[in-house]
Amino acid sequence: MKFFPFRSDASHAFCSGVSQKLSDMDEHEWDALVSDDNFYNSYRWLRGLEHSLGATDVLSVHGSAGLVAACTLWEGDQSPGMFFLQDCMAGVRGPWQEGFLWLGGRRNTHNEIPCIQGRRRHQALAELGRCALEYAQQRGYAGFVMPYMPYQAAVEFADAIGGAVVLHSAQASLEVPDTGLAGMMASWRAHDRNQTKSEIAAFRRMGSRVEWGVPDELDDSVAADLITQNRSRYGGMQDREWVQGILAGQRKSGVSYFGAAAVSKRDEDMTALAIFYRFGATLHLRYFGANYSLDLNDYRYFVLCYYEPLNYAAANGLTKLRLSTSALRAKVNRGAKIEPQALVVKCADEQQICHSEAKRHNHRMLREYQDKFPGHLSRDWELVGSQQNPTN
Amino acid sequence: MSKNNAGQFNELATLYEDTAHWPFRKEIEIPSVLQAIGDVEGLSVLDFGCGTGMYSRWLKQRGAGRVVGYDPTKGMLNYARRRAEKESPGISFVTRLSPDLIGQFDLVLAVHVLQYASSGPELQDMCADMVGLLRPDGRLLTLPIHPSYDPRRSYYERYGLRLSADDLQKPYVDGGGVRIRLCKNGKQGSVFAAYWSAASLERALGQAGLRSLKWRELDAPECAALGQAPKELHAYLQKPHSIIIEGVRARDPQ
Ligand SMILES: C[S@@+](CC[C@H](N)C(=O)[O-])C[C@H]1O[C@@H](n2cnc3c(N)ncnc32)[C@H](O)[C@@H]1O
Repeated sequence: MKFFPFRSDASHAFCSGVSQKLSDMDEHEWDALVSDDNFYNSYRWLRGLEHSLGATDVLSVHGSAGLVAACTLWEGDQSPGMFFLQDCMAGVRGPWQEGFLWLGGRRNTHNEIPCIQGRRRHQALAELGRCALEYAQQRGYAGFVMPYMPYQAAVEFADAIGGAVVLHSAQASLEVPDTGLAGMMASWRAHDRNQTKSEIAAFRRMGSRVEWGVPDELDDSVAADLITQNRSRYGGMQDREWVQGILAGQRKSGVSYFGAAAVSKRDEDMTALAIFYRFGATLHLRYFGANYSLDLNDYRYFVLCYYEPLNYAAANGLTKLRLSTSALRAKVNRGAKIEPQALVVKCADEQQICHSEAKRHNHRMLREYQDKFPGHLSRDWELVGSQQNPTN
Repeated sequence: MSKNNAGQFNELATLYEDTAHWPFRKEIEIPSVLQAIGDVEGLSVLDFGCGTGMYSRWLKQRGAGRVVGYDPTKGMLNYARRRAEKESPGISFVTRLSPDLIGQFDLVLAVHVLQYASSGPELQDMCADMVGLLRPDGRLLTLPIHPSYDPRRSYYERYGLRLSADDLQKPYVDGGGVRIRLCKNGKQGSVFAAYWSAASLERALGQAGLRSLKWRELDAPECAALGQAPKELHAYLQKPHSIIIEGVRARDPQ
């Protein structure tokens, strides 16, 4: 242990760097920067990806006492889908067909920059942005993006780095009442309440039941098979081995310690499963899988992904259920609120993104969501509305 | 209550947690505090100014019942939450003291916190908060800067710690500024604190309703006598920079 020398107090500046793998960083130091909602940028989640998909570079900013901001890097997908820049930026002109550096975990649908709190937060974010741009330029990228950010976090990051905020997605979440599903249903209209009751009754009538367990107890190949069946039904490209590799990586990194699996069974047959992660006061839904060769009309998706987890969350002192970005209508009909998600973009050539066009795009998207989901939008949409809409 | 001094800890979580492995804490402070606390089986405990939650985790692992960690600094509390959810689940960490916590605890622990009260009224408020959380007969254990710490700047440097009074000629003035620096392996951080005399501490705690006050010097509980402690700890043991004050909440409110 070396306690000398004490340096002068002038050494307050930040210094940034690039590491080739996450395991160069200390887990607790990293996680100290990760807030309750930012599970997919927590150390073990990212380390799981590293085990399954290989290491990526990591940007870090240090102050005199240690890490103040950091994030992992990747390149997005090169074919259409949720992580294809041209799809994310549809409706906003720019060089989106060029290569961009992506900040955050691979295929994350919720991103915030792990960063210190307090007085120097803005400065730490700015330094991370400066370092990301330098990294991008040195490697011939046209700029960098961080997608799927909660709107407020996106505005804060864009402010710090002089980037643009582009709304591109929305995420559903539920505030969990102390009394779980019963409390949630009490706040609904009779029609919605009856629909939920009849879905749960149908589930039971078909002889289905739910068992909660930990993902470590699941057979990865069975879980991967069900998850892949669901993904390929909705156009997912990954095969069973890919999903199995991801689950194996999670075991190795220890992130499955945070996991909770809801499994629906008929007799001893597993008919579907949903895998969640507990983090802070939030329960994050990540995977749903089902055996579609059993043609059951038993509402197992809704039972496993909405109804049961509300009771599970309430019983475990969790106050929020996060439900990803797809099938928003079905989620809204069952009490979810919709939160705006934005991408922060910084181009190496400032001329290439028109900030006022991005703002017009955001206002268009706000109106679209207001029309589609009136009464179901979270408070963050008001902030989108309060950003000045440039007229042309 | 003013938390003016709390924000300065936002960047210090990891460095501060690291101090738990530095000899002056690992060999002296932590065992002294745990010895003074004694058996915690089933007790409800509030760790006031819990920082990274190191003591909260220890207490939970030693069988305490309800454990609440309170700290107004988000950066510290984030560290505490993230680490405890992996190592000692079941601790609740809060950034504010809600009224339903008042009078609920068998033990309130406040390690290295009183020095962040920067004025007499703040010291009084902080003591009132700590004592108010206790049920009648509940115990408070707190560790301020030692009223007769060694004011020479270099005295604690070999332990990774430097205390510098704003006024070197008058280091023992109530409310006088003390800069506390931590340094190890090139990482360093510093915070502003305040010196409080024994009389002021006793007065503030007494007015808050604490009785049977006892002062306990830190020692190395593993070693029977000072002479048996590792040589490199002798200077610290002769002049520890902190001290334990213990007391119980009076039954009748003042
Ligand atoms: C030196 S750390 C001690 C942490 C912990 N008690 C330990 O010993 O490991 C001091 C802590 O006190 C907190 N603090 C500062 N002012 C405070 C106040 N007015 N009320 C409660 N906590 C405060 C800081 O945020 C910081 O985390």
